Amino acid sequence: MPGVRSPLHRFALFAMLALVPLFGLWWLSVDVLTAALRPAAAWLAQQLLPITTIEARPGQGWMVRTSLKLVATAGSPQFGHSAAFDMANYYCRRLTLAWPALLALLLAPPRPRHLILRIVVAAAALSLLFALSVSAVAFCRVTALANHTAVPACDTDVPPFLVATPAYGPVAFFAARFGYYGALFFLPLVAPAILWLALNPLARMMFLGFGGRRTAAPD
Amino acid sequence: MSQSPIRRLPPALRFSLMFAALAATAIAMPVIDPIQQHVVFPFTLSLATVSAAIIRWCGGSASALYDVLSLTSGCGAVRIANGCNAIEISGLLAAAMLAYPAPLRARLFGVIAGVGLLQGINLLRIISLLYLSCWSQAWFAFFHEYAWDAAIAFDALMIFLGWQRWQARPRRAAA
Repeated sequence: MPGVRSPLHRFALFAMLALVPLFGLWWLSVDVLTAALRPAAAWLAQQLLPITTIEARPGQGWMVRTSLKLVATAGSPQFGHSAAFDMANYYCRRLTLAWPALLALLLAPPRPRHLILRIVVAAAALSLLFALSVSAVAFCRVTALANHTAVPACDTDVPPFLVATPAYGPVAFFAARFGYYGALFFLPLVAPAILWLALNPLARMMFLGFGGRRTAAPD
Repeated sequence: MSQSPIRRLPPALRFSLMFAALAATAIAMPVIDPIQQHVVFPFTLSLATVSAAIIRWCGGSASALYDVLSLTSGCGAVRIANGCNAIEISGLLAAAMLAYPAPLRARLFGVIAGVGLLQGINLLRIISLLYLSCWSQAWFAFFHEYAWDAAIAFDALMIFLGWQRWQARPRRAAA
């Protein structure tokens, strides 16, 4: 008779109990974590988007500077400047929401062999995901700037200035909203489960019946 | 007889590819304007009405106006926006269940029951956040933006694993 000591119950109980302190620890250290990840995120955003720098603004999130020149008359204060936008703390923090969840899942039994190594791999994967997600969020803002329009799906109002760059087409506009929505609302929720199953073959076999190259028989 | 290329893939890879395709569809759906306007938005509005009805049924006093749920004492109010309707995590759960190699009936039952359960948990989340907004804005923000989302994602994973165990049981018994 399957009782409370079934592997699934044990896993669920341990993961749930581990999640509470790990979540508290994450909350206490999240700003340090995002600060450590900012250079990598800035580098990737520079490669993918018309972004020059991402600067930290203590207590207020990040300032993202673009290479999009403002349209301004000679002599006005904006003349010669490039557009910039804020990325509030909420975004940076939310994009790391997967960290405590994945750690809780990896620490719960059944644990894989070489747990520390797998945690390191998980951290590398989450860092990459964070950098890509920052670019996805920034892309939506850049699209709003280039098209000079409000994008409610990205919580973006009509920019207060014009920039000298061609507007993005409808496909890029859809991709921007898709990326923003996916990065902010889907990836932080689904990434822990996917990475946990990818990094824990024992759990994959035990809970999903997938083992190695062949499907393992359930039990 | 020739099998389709997708059926020849190892089950784990087939599940991963199907899940990725279905999850991408689930992400894209709410971004499409007509779906947002005619499905997501009315559904989000209905959450405020249902939450207010539950609070009143439990002896509390709350009202829903459009997408705003408020305590009639004026102590607290929340606006139910996109991201508060658990559509994202419901879509992911449905994608995982539909992609899993299980009998179609088990998959459909899993989607209906799992999404229903998740939406029930989300109503609990909305109501708890309403009362939290009355008590402390700082705690409200923490639970609203981070803690409840992590908890619902964890619940969805447990629902999926529990469903997988449930749907595999008859086959084990028959073996």
